[in-house]
Parts: sequence; C-alpha cells; structure tokens
Amino acid sequence: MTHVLAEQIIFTHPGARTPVIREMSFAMGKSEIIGVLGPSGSGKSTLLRLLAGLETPDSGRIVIGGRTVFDRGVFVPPEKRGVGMVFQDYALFPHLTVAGNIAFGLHRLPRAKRAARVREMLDLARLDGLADRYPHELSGGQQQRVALARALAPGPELLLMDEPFSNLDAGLRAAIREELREILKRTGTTCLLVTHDRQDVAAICERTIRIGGEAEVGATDYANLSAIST
Amino acid sequence: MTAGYAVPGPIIAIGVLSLFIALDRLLAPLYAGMGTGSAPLVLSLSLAMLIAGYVVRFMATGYNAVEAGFERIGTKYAEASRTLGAGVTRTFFRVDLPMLRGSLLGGAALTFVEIAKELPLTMLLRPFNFDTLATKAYQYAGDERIYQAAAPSLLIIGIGLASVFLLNHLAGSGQK
Repeated sequence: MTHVLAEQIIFTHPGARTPVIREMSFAMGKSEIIGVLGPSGSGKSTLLRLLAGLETPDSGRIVIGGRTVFDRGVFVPPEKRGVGMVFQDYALFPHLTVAGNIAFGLHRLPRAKRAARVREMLDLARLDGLADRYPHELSGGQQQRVALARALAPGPELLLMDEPFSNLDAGLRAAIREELREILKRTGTTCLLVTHDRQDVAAICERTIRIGGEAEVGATDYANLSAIST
Repeated sequence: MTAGYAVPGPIIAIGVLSLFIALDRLLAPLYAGMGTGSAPLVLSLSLAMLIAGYVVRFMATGYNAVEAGFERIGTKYAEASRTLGAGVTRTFFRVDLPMLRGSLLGGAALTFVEIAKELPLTMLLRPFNFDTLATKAYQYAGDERIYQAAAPSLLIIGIGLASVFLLNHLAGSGQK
C-alpha cells in the first residue's frame, strides 16, 4: 500500500534558471526505509525540504500518510504534515534540555502522557540519565540520538533524515547505523534518508533512489518508481 | 528605517514637532468634543512626542542588535520547530524569542544609554518640567552651578559603564 507518494515534482531555486528537481516521482510503502543517494548539489536535501513543506514545489503532487499535502491549490504547512525531520547539524534547541527538546513536539498531549512519552523516547534512544543535560554538554553521537528521539516523539507518518551520519567519526558511524536501523524497525517508521555514502544505504535501507546522473537502478518491485533528475 | 541614527537630533525634533502640531490641528474637533477647553495642543505637549523622536533617532541601535541576533541563529531552529508541529506563533515565542534574549537585552541596554545622554533632541521635544539627566546637567552647567552639574553627569557615566559591563557579560554568555 502506498504511504508516501510524490508525483512529477518540479522545483527551481529562486533566481535559478534550470530546475534542480525535474519531474521526480516515487512511492513508498508503510514502514519502508529508502535511501536517497546522489552527489552534493543534486537536490537531495531540497527533496526532503519539499516533503517537509519547508519549500514549495513549482508543480507536482505530494501525498503523505494518505493525505494530499501538496497539489494545485493545496499547501499543508509543515506543522500539519505529520513529518519528522533530523537535520544535518541536528538543530537541537540550545536553550532547552534533552527532555525539553524531545517534549517540544508533544505540546498537544496532556502533561502526564507527555512525560511518559518522553521517558519512552529516552529509553528507545538509550539516553537514560541525560534528560536534564543541555545539547552542548553532549557528544556528537548523543546529540544525534536526541535529534532522532525528538523527531520520532510525535509519531510522524514520515521521518526525513538529512545526512544523519556526516558529523560522526567513522568508528561511531557503523555502530549508530545499526542502532538506527533497529530503532526504525522497532517503531515501524517510514523513513527517507539522504546520504552520499553508499555504505549507509547498504546498511540501513531497503531501496535506493539515485538522483543526479543516471536513472534510478535500485532493486525494486514497485512498478511506479522512477527518479530521474540531472 | 534605521536612517534616523545618521540624522542630527534637532532636525528630527523639528520634523516630529511639525508632525505633532499638524496632528493636533487635525484632532482639534475631537478635543473640543471631549471638553478639554479651547487649547488645541494636547499631543504636542505630551511625552508621546519625545518618545516618537527617540524612536526615530535610535531605531538603528535596537534594530541592528535584533537583526544580528536573527542572523546568528539562522532559520534552522525555526524550521525544526515547524516540523515538530509548532505553528508560526508558537515558534516565535518558544524558539526565536528565547534564543534572541541576549540580543534583545543588549539592544535595549545600548538604546537606554543613548537616550540617557541624548541632549539636543530632548531639549526641543521634552514637555514642560520634564528633565533627563542630560538636560539637568546642561541646565546646571549653563547656570555655572558646577558642583550641582557633577551629580547628573557622573550618573550618566555610571550608567554608561554599567551597560558596557552588561554588554560584555551578555557577549560572554552568548558564546555557548
């Protein structure tokens, strides 16, 4: 069943002459983890920003969790899309503690439920004992886990990760990759992960979308999957 | 919008004065209706005029501090907040405002000192019997009451120094 759908997405950066994303289409099933591979400047991060609602496509259609969030005359703002995002540099709120960061997206829950959910996320991301620390007191790997916990806390329909391992050293990468895969599987999260590292994709993702250069060649049984962009 | 900082105080004062007198003329029927008598000058005798002058003159110091603050934090925190389900208003109060706190305080301190030592604009726009430290010092010095002039002058210097320390402290704590 199609959970996330992008159809004929075209996007041009303001002031640019040629579109960076040209008629891109793909579909994702529920709980599927897909990697987006491509060289820098190929529009990988832009694709995530389009899905999150932080940029507006020139044309096309985006469906997330069975709801059309972008189409002609339709634009659902980012806070109503049910999308979680892990930024490349994490963008953890420096004025909030780890628990405060994770609870930020849970403001609609009653207090008791919120506290329970924060504890659950701390446990899931193995952050026990760090709840009252501030982001600048954490190591890179811990910050990354906080960013993941924060994005997963509201239970997003789709998780977007922008180069999640780029700020970690090589030794840590392998361990965190394994951890990430396990967390995503356990929570049944649908995830789109952008990277330029083939190994990330091999370790975590079930399918690959290649953007920039050749057409998409990932092993897939989805007939409607195609991602062509230059 | 921030050009007022480059314009000398008296010129801004004359501009604000003519604007407020014109406003008072326009509102004269309203004053008459409220029964304040025949005196048609209400706004141009009030503190509002002086404050309007200060706003035009010192917009730049506050504005630049806040703008620098926004440039420093960038848009990524606001974007993170939006993807976490917070609307524009909630993002402003829960993310932007707390992160801008240092810049806001710094801008306020700087503007406060500028106003405390401003003289020409204040002289022209202040209501009757309204004095700032600067006008008091000027008045005493003009009357050759040198000892009396020292008190407000020293106070201005004290306020200036205190705010320099405050700004330094803010810059130091803003690093983390």
